[in-house]
Amino acid sequence: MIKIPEERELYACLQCGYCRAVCPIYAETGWESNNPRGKLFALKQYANRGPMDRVLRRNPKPGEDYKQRLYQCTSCGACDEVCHVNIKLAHLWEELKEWMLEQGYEPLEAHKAIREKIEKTRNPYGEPTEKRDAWLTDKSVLSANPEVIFFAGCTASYRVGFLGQAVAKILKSANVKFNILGEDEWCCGSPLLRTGQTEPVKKDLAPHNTKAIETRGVKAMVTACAGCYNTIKNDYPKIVGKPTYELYHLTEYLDKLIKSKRLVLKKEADKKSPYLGVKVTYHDPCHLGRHARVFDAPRNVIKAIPGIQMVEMPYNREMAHCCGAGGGYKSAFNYTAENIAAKRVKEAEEVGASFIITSCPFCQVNLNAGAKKIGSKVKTVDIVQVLEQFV
Amino acid sequence: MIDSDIARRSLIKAVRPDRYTESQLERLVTSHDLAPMPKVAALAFKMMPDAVIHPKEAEEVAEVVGIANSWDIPVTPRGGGSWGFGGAVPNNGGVLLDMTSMDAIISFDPEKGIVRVQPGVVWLRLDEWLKRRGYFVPYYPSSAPGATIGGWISTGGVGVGSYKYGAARDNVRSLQIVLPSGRIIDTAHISDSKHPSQFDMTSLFIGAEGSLGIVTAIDLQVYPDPEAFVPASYSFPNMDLAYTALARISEAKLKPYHVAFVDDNYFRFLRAMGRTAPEVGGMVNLVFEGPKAKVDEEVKFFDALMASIGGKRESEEIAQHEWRERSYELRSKKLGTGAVIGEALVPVGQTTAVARETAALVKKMKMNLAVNGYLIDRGTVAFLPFYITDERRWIKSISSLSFVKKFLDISNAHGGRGVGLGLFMANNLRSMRDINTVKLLRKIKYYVDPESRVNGGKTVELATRYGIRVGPRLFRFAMNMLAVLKRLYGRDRYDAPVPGGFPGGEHS
Repeated sequence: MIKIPEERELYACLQCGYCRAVCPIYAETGWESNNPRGKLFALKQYANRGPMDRVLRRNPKPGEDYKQRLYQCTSCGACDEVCHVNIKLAHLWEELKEWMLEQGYEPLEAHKAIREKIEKTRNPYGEPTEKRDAWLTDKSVLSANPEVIFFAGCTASYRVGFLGQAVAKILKSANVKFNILGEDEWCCGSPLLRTGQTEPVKKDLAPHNTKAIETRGVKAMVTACAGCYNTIKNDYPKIVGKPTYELYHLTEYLDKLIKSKRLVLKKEADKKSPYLGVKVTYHDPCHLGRHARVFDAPRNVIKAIPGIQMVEMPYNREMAHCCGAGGGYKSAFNYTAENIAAKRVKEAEEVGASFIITSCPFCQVNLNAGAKKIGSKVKTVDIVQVLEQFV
Repeated sequence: MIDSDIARRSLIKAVRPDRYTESQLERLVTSHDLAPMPKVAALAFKMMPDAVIHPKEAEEVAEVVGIANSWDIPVTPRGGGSWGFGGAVPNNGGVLLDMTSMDAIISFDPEKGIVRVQPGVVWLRLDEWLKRRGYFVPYYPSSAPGATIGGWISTGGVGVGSYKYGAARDNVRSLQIVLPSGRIIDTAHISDSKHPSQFDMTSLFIGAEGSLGIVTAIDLQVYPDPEAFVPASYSFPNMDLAYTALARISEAKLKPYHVAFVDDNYFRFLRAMGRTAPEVGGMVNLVFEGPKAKVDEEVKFFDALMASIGGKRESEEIAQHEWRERSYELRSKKLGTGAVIGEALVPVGQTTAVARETAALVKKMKMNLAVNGYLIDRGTVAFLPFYITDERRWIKSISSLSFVKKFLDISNAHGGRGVGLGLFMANNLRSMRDINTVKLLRKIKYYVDPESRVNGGKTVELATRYGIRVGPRLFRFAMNMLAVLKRLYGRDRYDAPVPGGFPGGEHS
């Protein structure tokens, strides 16, 4: 018998198939082995391998095809929400990926490349460490005595610097004293944890980032990236223990600032803003919503914008459909990831939205790619891109 | 494996290469349904298909069936795979048609309230789709988040909302079927839907468990979304009173939308898992829907009726929770790693007797059992006992399966009948229907499917992978032996203690 993590969970699975009906990958491929129920059933057979299998002339054991199925997952966690017997499935998939690598299987090529880059340059893009804070052109906004650290994340640092700049502008307008970690900010480790490559995160990334934050003596840290937030909130405590600082996703922090009237949004609607006079909708990033349970804060922030017309898509909050980018899926299976995004864009079209507002750079990139694929005019923007027009 | 390369190539051509597979992984994961069948069962039934196919259209299904006929390949249609009687499990390999790939909502006529769907559409998805258009589907299986429309219809289709809106056969206006010959038929003319003036064959295929053909499209009657929708829960000090309540509800002049119940052990199981559950003798959950004034009147009427029997109206929070949990009745499976469900339709007046005899059987077999169920019409209760077992202890687990047969014998003795036949309970047909009816049903099967190729060896007969037919006597003997074996074993226990234990103090 093979020793499998969370073996009891395998037996608890009822095979009801509720997870099948919400799995975005299954919706694309249709193969039973692609959905959570199928993966669990196969695993149970592997765990139970015995003499009877020889009699039946079958040899159920995990192979390359099973590994592929484990990696064909966006880590969206929709299966968690509907599980009849409350199996922590999203967590289980990550453990199983790690377990497969321990059995001697190789990570997918795209994920292996990410690990190599992170180990070399501390970011998944292979960009120079010294350029980590290049996104912030005006360093005068930084405070030597900050009340909060802004953890920009690799994507805002190297690929979509305008997001970081928007955050800086918003925090400045609320008179928030903030600073950044600069070269001391390393990848949070999310791309590695989601792909079963946990070692560098446990050994280097989590301890380093935690030390970098804690030695600055700040009371709070804020990040605008859903992936970073989920990792630091849910994974870091298991690796480095309880943090000494308060962690906020940017939308939570902004919600607080708006409620305490530190951040005052323009009462006079900016007529030039493309976000006014049209409907906008909010897409819950899986890592911020289902994984980190932040649903209200981004909605509160959007609704606080004077004149904004917010509509919900039918599948929202806990049951929001995935954009298709998470869990390392887009980097390995871009074609299907964009198909999943295109479906989400169509949902926005159905409620008449011109813009999808989100709070995750990966969702933004993939939803825009999905829209392009189907020729949709719906544009996806980050919540800070909208908000910066009203401060 | 499909032996003939020509057959394989023909099947691939019938669909597309990316919708055909012989991968061991895919065949493995489609070789089961909800029932935790032990591996040893594969000695009798070749449950792993030789190939899995994803059809998209009826014409593709017809072509696959035609090729299967030419090459003598068994065909098994599979929907959500969430039933527990093996109806969607191959008994002799062959081709498995995974019908979930046919999941399109084809058309909707709001004027007639008729929606045409492919069989792989999931019930909950259809309801969500309709709600966005001001309609709803008021009848569905409790497994609606995972069950497919084609699958449920093939099982007979009684469930949530059947009390007011009837079963599937009351709401299916027409079916498109691929017959075992490969021909495509429509069972009724849709324009005659509500008042058929022609020969309507729809009912013949509902509950046939895929033995007479493969459902490829369904015309369903749906309804405007109601103005008011109110769940109400009533607790009772014991199940005798709760069963009395069911009888009184069924005689009442007013009719709730849905009438469900759970017993005290159901809540005990949940508490053993660390969940919060009411400490009551039993619970009757009513749901009302319709115009607000009518719903108000019904709530008032049933409040008084339940109070007169000793029922206490629980908070709205509990009622809403019980309603939300209607699709999650087996949460306690986690307690013991395995769960087996029995299901029988029992005359309302016989519910207490069936419950008492079932409890005695459970005590004799040293098991723990919880019961839930619902009224499906004024005369009938769907009685669903389930027990928690431990799959890892396979002899004990297999011997426990005999409970289902023994329970069905009890319900049959009280004028009840089992709900499913499929593969595992096919031999129960003889104890539910008279011999002439059974013979006719078999004749119909062999008429449309002379070689018993489409879902053969099930429902009206039981055949093993070697083609050997197992009769009711052998089946009964085997089940009786397993029941004896179960009694020789110790009492069922769980990893977690059950607070308060079980009646009679049998269990830890």
